[in-house]
Amino acid sequence: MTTAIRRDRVGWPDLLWLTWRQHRWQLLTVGGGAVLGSLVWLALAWLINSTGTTDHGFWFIGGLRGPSQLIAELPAAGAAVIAVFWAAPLLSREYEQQTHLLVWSQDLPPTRWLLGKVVLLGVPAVGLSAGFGAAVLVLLDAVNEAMPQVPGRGYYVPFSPFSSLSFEAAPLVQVGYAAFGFALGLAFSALTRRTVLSMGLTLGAFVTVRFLVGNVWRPHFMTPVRTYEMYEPRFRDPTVVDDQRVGSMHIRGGYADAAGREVPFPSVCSDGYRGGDEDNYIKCVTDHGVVQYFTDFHPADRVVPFQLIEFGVFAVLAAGLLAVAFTRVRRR
Amino acid sequence: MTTTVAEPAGTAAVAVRASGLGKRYRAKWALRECAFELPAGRVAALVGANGAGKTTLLSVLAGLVNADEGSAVATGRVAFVAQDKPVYRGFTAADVLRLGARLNVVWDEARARRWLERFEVPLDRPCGKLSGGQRAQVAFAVAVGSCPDVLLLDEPLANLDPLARREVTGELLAEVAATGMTVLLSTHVVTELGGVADHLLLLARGRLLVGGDLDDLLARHVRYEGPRSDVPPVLGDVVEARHHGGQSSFLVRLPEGPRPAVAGQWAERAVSLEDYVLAQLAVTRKEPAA
Repeated sequence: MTTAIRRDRVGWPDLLWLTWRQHRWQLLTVGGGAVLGSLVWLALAWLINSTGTTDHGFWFIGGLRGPSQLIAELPAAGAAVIAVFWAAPLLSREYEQQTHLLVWSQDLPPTRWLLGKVVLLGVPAVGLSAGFGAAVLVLLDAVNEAMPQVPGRGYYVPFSPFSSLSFEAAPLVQVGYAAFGFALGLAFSALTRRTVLSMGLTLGAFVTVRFLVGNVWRPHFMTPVRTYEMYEPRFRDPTVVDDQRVGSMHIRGGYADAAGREVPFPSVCSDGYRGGDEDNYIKCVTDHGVVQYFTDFHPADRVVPFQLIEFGVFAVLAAGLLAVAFTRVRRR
Repeated sequence: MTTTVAEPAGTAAVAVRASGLGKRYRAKWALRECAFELPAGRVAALVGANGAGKTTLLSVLAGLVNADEGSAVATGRVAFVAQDKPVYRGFTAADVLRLGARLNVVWDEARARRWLERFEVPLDRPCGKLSGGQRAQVAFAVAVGSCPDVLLLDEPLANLDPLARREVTGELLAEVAATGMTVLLSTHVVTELGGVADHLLLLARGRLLVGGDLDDLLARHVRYEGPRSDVPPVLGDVVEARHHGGQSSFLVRLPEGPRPAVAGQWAERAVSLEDYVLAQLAVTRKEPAA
């Protein structure tokens, strides 16, 4: 005589119940914070768009341009929070409290349990990051739009497409960072089986990789475009730039001869120059072959391809790290 | 136990079969060349010194650790309760039962709740606030509720008071009688095994030293006590010899066949499970590492 209930398999609703029961506070705090923050950024963007200015004071805040600079930094922190507080303790806490022995000795293979956790926590993590990034981007666009434009003086905007803050807030890029952070934390969690150690290593590695890809590798994603101008040492208005270079990523500039070959700047010419004989100075420089000034840059229309590449880099890293975590759990 | 299913002679259903089982942690073998068959419906005791490989063997059988060589097959569904009786500290006992219901394809809620009621474990308190003994009962309740064919228990009696030990073993035997499940439990508390276990697996340094029906094993071993002597009064393998003053005591494994009679000053004593296990463990400790 038995009162046992039988069924075919342990399904996703069961994994969902377990994940919610175990991680509901994480999901509610980070999820709630991200949703609340996004709504505030959208409200601020609406305010700026409808009034056409960022000059709105609240309490001690003088205007919205400064705060938007701070808000723009938040998406970078979001993926790190997910990596360190969601993923890094995920397996290690089970190992430390021995609860993996409880949960893995039910009718659910450990790899399916892990798949459940990865999907049911990873998808919200990625979704929250994308949504939060999108809301920040709406605010940054509103701030850009509200900048007073002076005719003939270029198009200065505080958050140009290639500036790291707006480049990285893009939802697609945020998805890459969140997936990478989650997989990184999970891999360290599986490898170290120590929560604090895994959290520390995750933070260190996340910051390092983000810095290396964003600051060292990103300028080399594609071959930069080179433009030439006639060499002109006299004063030039620095805010007046070629249309092609508006919103671009500047790589470097240098001197070239008439054929466009790069030449080193003749420092001998400036050695004797003490602000007097300008014509003589120009003659010295041109005698050394300097005819043109060139600029290497990535034009603004490369932003989306660059974001795709950035996403691809982090997505590949995430896939590799997930494979490490799964392998580690399968080979017990 | 009566059964209406006739088993062909000599092939009683096997609940757990291990052959050539080995598990290595880096260069050190925790378990090696382990082979046994555990008939269904038995309560088997897994004994051995610390570090003998008991937890490794149970973990391999539970599917939590992959063997490096050989194979282990358990028939049907397996439940395992680890040594520390782990449960999520933030979960209430009711939550842990819910976990059992959610993560098992067979679940008997009434059976699990009966176990908690029997041991007076409150359902609504977080496990982190329960006593160690109560937490252990929650872990047992999940294992029992999942209606296993084979129940593996690592040191189930540790951390329990003497009364709770007796009650747990009593409840386990009742579950075995009611369901026909097979139990394999590791333990240091050999004294508590009398009347509980009917099968013995004795591990020493990762190798299976003895495996078999407990009554058969004990029937083939006899202790002889008498005047000081270098040899026992009967033919057979000396498992343990003790000499104290003018007295000698031999634990002897008798050869097959009728039990030989001894005469004179020799006294013949039946061997208790504890006596037998301790003698075996003492021998393996004296031996140099294999």
